[in-house]
Amino acid sequence: MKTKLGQIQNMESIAVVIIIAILIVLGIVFAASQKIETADTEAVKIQEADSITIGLKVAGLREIKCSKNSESGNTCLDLYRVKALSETIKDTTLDADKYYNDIFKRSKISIRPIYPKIELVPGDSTIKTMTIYEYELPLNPDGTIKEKQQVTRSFFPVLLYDPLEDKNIFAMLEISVYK
Amino acid sequence: MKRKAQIEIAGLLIIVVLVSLVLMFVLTFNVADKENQGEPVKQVKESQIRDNFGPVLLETSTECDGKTIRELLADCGSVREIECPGPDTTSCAYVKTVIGEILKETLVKQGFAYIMSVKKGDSVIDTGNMYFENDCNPDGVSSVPSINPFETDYGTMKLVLVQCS
Repeated sequence: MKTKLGQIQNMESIAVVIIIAILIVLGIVFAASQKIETADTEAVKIQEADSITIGLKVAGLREIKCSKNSESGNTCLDLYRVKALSETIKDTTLDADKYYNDIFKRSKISIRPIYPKIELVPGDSTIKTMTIYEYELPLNPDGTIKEKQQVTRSFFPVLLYDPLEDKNIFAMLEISVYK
Repeated sequence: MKRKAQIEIAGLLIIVVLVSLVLMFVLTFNVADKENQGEPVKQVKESQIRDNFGPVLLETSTECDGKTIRELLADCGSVREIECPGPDTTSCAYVKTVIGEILKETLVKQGFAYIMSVKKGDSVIDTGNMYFENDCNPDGVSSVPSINPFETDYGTMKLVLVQCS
């Protein structure tokens, strides 16, 4: 009788230990999943902050700032300087992209004139956006382009000054930051 | 024997209560953290749009003799001498159409809820009724208004942009 009781008590202790172990494992799994989620959210937050920083850097670039409206405190970019910078960065013989990679990192910067309507490329009214900079990901070993994962986009209203026509264009500066 | 069983049940109850308390504590902190995460960055992003929009809009040139929106609003709020091309020949009607077009292509497209108005003194300028709104619940005004005053020959006017939640 006593042996049987002792066996039951042993079983009881083992069951308690197992239950506590399960609870601890569940707790660890829960905490780990929370940590992973938090890390992902933090990463998105950093990307969003980066997009704001890059936007401010673009707005402050001396290469493209316009001289006419600078005293008013508005964010004003010169249309022709922006075009020139875009072409310079795209020109692979100049290696300018390496310099701007350090500033703009893994992002895409484009500008979209809103009003008055202008033709970014003379004679082609279908092009609505001009890309100033776009980060080129290294190629995969098989030569294919790695897929860019867009994380966040930011928009800034800016004034685009056309010195030839002496007019201010309302434009949106769009910053996309890739993972 | 019965007494021992009662003590064991009480022990189990204490463990269950302790585990529940720990879980509640962890969950409360997690929920509070998640609610606050990303808020400051979002606020900075929105304030960048809100604070830049008015000054940029005022300096934008129009196709009405190259006049800026600021000049057309000043004319609309005073002598109304400027005549513009198209169906909306008065400065008030023309500038209202232009502002509406810009807002539609920018803030409305991005789902930004706002109220924008142009005021002379404390009232929205009556002629032309310069009041624009997108998806805004009047009780849900969530930002400090971005006020852009500008001088005219007939007094100070201001363009006010308020973000709604």
